[in-house]
Amino acid sequence: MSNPDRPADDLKNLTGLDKLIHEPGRLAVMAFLYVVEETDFLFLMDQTGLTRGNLSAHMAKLSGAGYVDISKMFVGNVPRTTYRLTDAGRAAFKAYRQGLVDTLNALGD
Amino acid sequence: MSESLNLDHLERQAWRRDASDGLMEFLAGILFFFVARAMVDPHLAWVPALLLFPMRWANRFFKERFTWPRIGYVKLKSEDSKDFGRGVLTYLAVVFVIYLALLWVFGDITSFQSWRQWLPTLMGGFCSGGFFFAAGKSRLARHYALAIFCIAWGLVCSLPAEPFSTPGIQRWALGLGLVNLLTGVAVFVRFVRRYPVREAEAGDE
Repeated sequence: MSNPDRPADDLKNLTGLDKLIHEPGRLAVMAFLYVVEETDFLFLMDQTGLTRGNLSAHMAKLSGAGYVDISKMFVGNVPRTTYRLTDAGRAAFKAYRQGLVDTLNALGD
Repeated sequence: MSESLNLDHLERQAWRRDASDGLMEFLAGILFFFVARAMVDPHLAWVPALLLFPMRWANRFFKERFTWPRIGYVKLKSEDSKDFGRGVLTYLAVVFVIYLALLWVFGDITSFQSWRQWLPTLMGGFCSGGFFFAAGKSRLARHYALAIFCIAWGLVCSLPAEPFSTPGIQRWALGLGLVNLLTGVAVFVRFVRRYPVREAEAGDE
């Protein structure tokens, strides 16, 4: 029998979702990085539809959380920054995706 | 979840974007020309195999100069080598069985001449695997078309053709090389027109 004073499990799952990934812009970035090995700023910007400033801010947050690995290099004279998901980022995205699917299924129609 | 969060769809988008420069077709065209050349002289048979290494270098060379400054850089996920290897071997085995069946029905399985005559069909079947793989990833119509052309042209070149003095296998490689090269050039021209260089952005962030 459930205790009416305790939060419902279905809603607890929802509030337990990773808030860093839950933001739509970062979710788009994480989802795209999940399906490729690595990419650069320009490709990521085009694929996610984010502006330069937005993408920079999101990448800084994801990198700070240890979800994204950033490498800087030169190709000819042009600097290139590449991004790839870390193992922690990959695991976090997998858990987020599963958590969201579970919660939405539990809520029903 | 919405279509935009479908991971397969996202991966396909990345493949399509990466293939939008036509480089794969262009380099395949050059490779097939070398195959055709090697067919004339058995001493050159090793050349196409050796070319596979510079092709990787050429691919990177062109991508660095033309593709990445326009659309950015992406490294697509590599296949699980065990599953991929098993898939390739299965495909080759199926093609070989079909080839034997065709030879048995339409030719003479004991005759070396028959094996030689139907070689373009075998090669077409083998090589179509690469295009089918690319088509499966990108779902681009031109990849499906090239895969089907690879087989169909192989069949055509296996039929007896009196007016031609060149062997069927050489006509097959030349035709395939030409079609791939022209496709690659056409796609590349469209790519360059559609996507201007954005080096300043590419260097960020």
